[in-house]
Amino acid sequence: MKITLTQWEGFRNLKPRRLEWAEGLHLLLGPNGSGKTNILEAFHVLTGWGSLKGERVLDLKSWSDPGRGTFLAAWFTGEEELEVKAGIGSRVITKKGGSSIQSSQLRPLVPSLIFLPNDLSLVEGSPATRRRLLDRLCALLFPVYALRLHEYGRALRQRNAALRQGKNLAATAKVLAPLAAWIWACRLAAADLIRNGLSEAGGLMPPGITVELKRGSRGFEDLLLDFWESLKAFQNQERATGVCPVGPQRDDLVIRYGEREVVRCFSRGYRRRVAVSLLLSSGWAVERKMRRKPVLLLDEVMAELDHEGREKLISVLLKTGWQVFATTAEACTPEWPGRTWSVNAGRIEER
Amino acid sequence: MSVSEPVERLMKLFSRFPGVGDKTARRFALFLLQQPSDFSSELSSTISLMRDRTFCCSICGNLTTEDPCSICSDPFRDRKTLCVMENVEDMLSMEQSGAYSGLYFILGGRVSPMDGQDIEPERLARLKEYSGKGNFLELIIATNPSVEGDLTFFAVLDAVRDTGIKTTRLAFGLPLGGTIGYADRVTLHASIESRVEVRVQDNS
Ligand SMILES: Nc1ncnc2c1ncn2[C@@H]1O[C@H](COP(=O)(O)OP(=O)(O)OP(=O)(O)O)[C@@H](O)[C@H]1O
Ligand SMILES: [Mg+2]
Ligand SMILES: [Zn+2]
Repeated sequence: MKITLTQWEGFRNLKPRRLEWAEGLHLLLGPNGSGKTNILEAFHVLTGWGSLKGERVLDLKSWSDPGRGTFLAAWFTGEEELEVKAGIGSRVITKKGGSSIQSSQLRPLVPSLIFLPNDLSLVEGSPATRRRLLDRLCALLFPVYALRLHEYGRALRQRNAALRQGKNLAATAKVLAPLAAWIWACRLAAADLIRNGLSEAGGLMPPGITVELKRGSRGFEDLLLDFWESLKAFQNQERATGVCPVGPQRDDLVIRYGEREVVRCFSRGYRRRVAVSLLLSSGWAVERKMRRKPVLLLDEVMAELDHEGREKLISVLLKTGWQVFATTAEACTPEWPGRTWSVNAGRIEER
Repeated sequence: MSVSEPVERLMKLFSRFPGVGDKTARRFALFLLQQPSDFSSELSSTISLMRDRTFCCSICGNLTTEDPCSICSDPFRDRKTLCVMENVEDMLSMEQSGAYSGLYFILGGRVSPMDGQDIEPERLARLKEYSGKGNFLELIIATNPSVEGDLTFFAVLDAVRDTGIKTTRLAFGLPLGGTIGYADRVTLHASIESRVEVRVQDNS
């Protein structure tokens, strides 16, 4: 899918603006605090996801003019023609072609993938960072995924509460087990897709990188059995610590280069390249499975790549044919084969 | 505050109702003042009467003025099916739908350790006793399709296990009268997962 036209008003520090977007690559260039990330955030909201910082929705409204309405709109083309509008008050109200729709239902229609500065440390960061990559892909591929993950989290809190109160744990285990097995099945499928996609990252990193889901369990093949057996095996630890040590909340994505883990054998720059490749790989998974081209939102991805890394990334991005919005604070790429926009104090102009 | 003290007190009481905010509470109070005073006396005496005369049916837990309640004592109801529900409100919805003509058992609570909620052990013991003594052929556990509904379901299932009675749970899926084309994707997926087998019957 592609964004062809956007409109925003009263959103963060952005000045009201109506803009046409071509397909291909877009570079948003501007000093710190100018509003580059806010533009990506507007696209993020318009494709069915929330604010980037997980803050209250009200924080999306412009501070300087809080009385004024906050409004976003986008027109998409590509695999489908789509008009999306979002009004932001105490919550986000989204409309598709004039009729109300839950924002999460927009996600599969206009699949977007985002890469934030923190994601650059995907390889060496906490497992939660890597689970987020898997969860984003799963939420796009499996419509019930976000709901199930939410239910699982709730059931887990119920179990931990029962644990603290010294209550019987049987019922919570029965609720958790099928949810855990279902989430694992999705994540395994997502990890497979990411692994297959990595071969297309062409030159951004050495060939031979693989990823594998390491489940928060003993690892028996049958997922349901795995949950039950692992729960039994870690029973004492669970009682002692008061938190459930088994399940998807303990999953990790192990990234290997040959026999070794990438986190141990790659330089910082190469770990960054691997991180970016994993995102691109999710993009290929989306395109293959959903038959829709994703929209890529890349925040400060270039910053930590060397010149060669940037050139390779750009050539890979060009080959995908996806619409890409990349931000950067400095003109670090002399050869940007797309449009360049200057962002300054909430204003955006084509260069 | 610009309203008199008694009005304010009443507004405070009204605003404790579920779904009633300050504005609605004020409207209610002002409305009462506009009505003839008979209305207020009838309202207050009805409320007192309701409180004094209403209690829980000793069999099913339904709210009633006679024991057993009108459902438990209705000779025309199907006495072979028992539907277990979380609370009276759920039961009333089920009754209003007219979809069900068996008997009920109200748990009077749900399982949610996070919120410090649980079903009284005596209530589960009572259910076990009741379902064991009656001639029930089926127990329907009608809890919500949520984590707490699941937890409640398993607690009930555990309590009635020994009775050996066939036990079922409500299905979740497509809203009836809707169309597949309009159903949201989450509902569609949930209904695919809870699909049921179609038995091809021999019509001879
Ligand atoms: N609700 C809001 N109303 C008005 N301004 C806001 C609001 N939220 C954030 N801002 C301001 O928007 C400015 C731009 O933020 P943004 O994160 O988009 O900058 P950026 O261009 O990405 O900068 P950097 O290069 O540092 O990442 C910030 O200075 C912030 O103070
Ligand atoms: Mg930024
Ligand atoms: Zn009764």
